[in-house]
Amino acid sequence: MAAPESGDGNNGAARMVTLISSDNTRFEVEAAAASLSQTLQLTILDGGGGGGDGIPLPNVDSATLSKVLEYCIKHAPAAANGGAPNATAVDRAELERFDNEFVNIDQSVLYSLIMAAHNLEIEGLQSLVAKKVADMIKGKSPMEIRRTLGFPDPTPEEQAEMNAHMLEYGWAYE
Amino acid sequence: MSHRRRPGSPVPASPLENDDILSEILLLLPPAPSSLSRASLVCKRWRRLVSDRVFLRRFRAHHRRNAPLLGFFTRTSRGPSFTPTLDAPNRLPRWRFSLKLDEGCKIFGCRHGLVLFLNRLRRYLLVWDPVTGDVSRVAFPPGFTGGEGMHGAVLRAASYVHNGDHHSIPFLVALVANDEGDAQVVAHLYSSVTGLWGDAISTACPSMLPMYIPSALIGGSLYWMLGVSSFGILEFDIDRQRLAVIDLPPNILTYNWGRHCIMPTEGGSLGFLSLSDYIAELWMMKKGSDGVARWVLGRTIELDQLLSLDLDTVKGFPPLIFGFAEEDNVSFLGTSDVVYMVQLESMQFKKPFKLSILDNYHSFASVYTAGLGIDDGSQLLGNA
Repeated sequence: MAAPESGDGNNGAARMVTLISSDNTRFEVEAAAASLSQTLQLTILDGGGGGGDGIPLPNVDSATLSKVLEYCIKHAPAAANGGAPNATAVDRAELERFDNEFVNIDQSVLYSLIMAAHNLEIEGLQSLVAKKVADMIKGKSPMEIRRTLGFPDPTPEEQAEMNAHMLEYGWAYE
Repeated sequence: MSHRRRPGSPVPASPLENDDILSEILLLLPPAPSSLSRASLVCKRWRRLVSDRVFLRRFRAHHRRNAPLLGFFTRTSRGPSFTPTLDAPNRLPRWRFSLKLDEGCKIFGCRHGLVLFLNRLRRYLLVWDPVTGDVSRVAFPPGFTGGEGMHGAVLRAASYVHNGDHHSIPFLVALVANDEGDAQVVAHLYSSVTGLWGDAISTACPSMLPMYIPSALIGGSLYWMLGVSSFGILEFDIDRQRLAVIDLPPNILTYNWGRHCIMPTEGGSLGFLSLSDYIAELWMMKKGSDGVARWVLGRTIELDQLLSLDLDTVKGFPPLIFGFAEEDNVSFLGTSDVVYMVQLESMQFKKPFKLSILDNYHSFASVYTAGLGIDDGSQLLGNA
């Protein structure tokens, strides 16, 4: 395995790593972007992922991984600034716009992203996708929540139990 | 709704089947009272997750900085009475918050989801968290005499102490009182973390602390009205542990209940509302070029125009301020037979509700999670 570069990027060429999706697609990406993932960060710090090796990600397919990397590449500069305390309002607004646009996606893609963000431990992405689901169900009745999330209709037993609890919280459905 | 996938392709587990992931999602639901009770009805698993004590504590901690204004407390002979102000489905029933009190308990005010009572006769203060049901009794500081005038305030410390699984409500209590033949004011600060009162601090003060006007928290300081013989404002800077007496804005020589109120300015500094008939004056404390802070008249609002009151048909009294909600800068303005909740800065207000009590409205904001696995958590803490 090749020794890792000094990593400060002063020589102009940022260190790259290769990630391999579950369907064997290779993605070459800057180590700084991949390091937004807590799990990948450890491997990268150990010098992994460089050269011809690549880091296999058996739980993430290529469609999801390319989406995840889109997020990481966009957020890497701000993350490198330690959460960007001195980021301009314009930068922050741009990231917010990107985030809003980013989660404007199909539920199945969203679910894959949630899984990937969880497995790869990408904190910002985890909150972003969790917030998206929370926004999808906020203000909805229990039945509407079930439908929104594609749960099967409740069995008669479940329905009876729901009704019983509904009485308890009747004020919330006035 | 379950549509079949092509045979052979693996069925991806829904991320919502993972308890950790689902908890993180539910944690981000808005802190409106109906959020968790509705989520709890989705299915058994969801109910288990949102009834979990650790989850509920996290939910309250996560949202406590933007806790919604649930309503207000007023006093009755039987104890505090709650009036909800949110609309359905977040409108809590009146009976949701009730507490049996010793005789002689008097409500001093609410802040940060806590209610403070005084029992002068038995020499203690009581801090109540209506959502969790926790009650803490705090005995007067040792040697505390307290003159005629006395008041208090409760607040949560800026840095929230997360005590893990320990069931506790970290808070501070300030107690201020006239002393020394009422020539000075003494202040004491209690911390629930140490369970102790700090050293008393004092300042010369010719005025009395009326017992009936709640405190205001602006920046890191608490403020109380001073009155009776001469008028002013008492300032207790909590971090610097310093007391000061501040003059009222010019031309305000006396104050009347309902006509005057200490409130923060738009910029978050000390402000003062003065009502005279249908005119509201908003004063603010501003530093001049000489570095000295002075009262400056900010905006003047014609309340009859703002609230579209037809003065020819309106009966009763011009608007009085019954209370002020620090969380969202809402004033409770009562006039004739209705109460308006007005945000004077943005000039926005909600549909008024019927006036039933002419008294202090102690506004109450909190992250409501009661009924979800914490009701059995009621316990008397630190019984002094």
